Amino acid sequence: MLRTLVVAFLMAVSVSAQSPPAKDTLERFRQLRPGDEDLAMYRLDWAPSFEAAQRRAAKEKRPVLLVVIHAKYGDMISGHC
Amino acid sequence: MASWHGHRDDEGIPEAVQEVWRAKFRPGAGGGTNVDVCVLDDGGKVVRTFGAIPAPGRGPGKGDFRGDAVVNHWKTEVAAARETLGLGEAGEPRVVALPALPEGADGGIRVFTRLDDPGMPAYNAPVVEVVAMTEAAWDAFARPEKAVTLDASALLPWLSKMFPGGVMERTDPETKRVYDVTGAEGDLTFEPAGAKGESRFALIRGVVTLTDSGGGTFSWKGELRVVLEYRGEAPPVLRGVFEGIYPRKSPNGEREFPITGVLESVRR
Repeated sequence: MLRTLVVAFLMAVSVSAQSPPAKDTLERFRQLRPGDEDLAMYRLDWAPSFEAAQRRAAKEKRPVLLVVIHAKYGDMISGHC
Repeated sequence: MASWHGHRDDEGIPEAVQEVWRAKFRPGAGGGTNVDVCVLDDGGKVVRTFGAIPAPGRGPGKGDFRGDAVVNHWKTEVAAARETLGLGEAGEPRVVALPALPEGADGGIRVFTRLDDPGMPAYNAPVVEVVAMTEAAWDAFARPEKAVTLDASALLPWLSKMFPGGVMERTDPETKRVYDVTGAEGDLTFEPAGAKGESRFALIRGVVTLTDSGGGTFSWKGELRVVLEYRGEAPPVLRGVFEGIYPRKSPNGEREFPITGVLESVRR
């Protein structure tokens, strides 16, 4: 009887919970996932290109703020620049 | 808000950029960094320009990075531009809107990457990129019934974003193009990881070594842990972390810094 209960308990545990390494991973994810305070750059209304920004500016009657980078590479939207 | 990059000998430089650079590179204008800013009205007329970093020092690349100097400089310049444009006070900040899935993609993986180099605070700000995933691409991540080995190269599209924000770290000296992350090596364990309610889980974990198209012996490595949550027939929900060490080269030599990646699935 006791053995049956132990087996039933272990089976219940195995199907009703994430494994400890999975739990640890999800906890680490929660710790490391950037929050809004870390992502303030994405409060800005980015356009994918200067041309796209100018089209929107003309249509929406809004100004454009353009960052000009003197370099071969500079993806300000992703942050790889 | 937009950005543009290029060199002075490029073809097709926008008129606004030419105007910024005529002022920047005029004789006696001083140094500053390689980043400038201009504000244009809705008709495309430049109404204000300023260097991204205040108070250029004694040569190119110099500037005042102390304390809140850069923040205050931008606040002052943007406020002046707003006044010129008659826009009045700024309103409430917009809500955060992260880079979206590419057009036509129904789902993908969002990757956040940061490098913790205390000497380069800008690298602490997360880089955010999204990798599209087709329905078929998820087949490789079907929940296993028992532990299996998964080659890290299967995750290369996501792991290829795990490099510092500043691409000057690894660029081709001739073309000045950033090297691509082209290699992900390691045997990962892909195993069932329990269940909760209607969800079933799997875990991918192991050490991954990354290399880039620059060749040589340069590489960096870290521990990858990814949880996949399966519910019904839909593609799994994915959450994961990559915690590694990046050997950053600088004029002062090579030093190692923690590099951290966070992965999460996104659906349209």
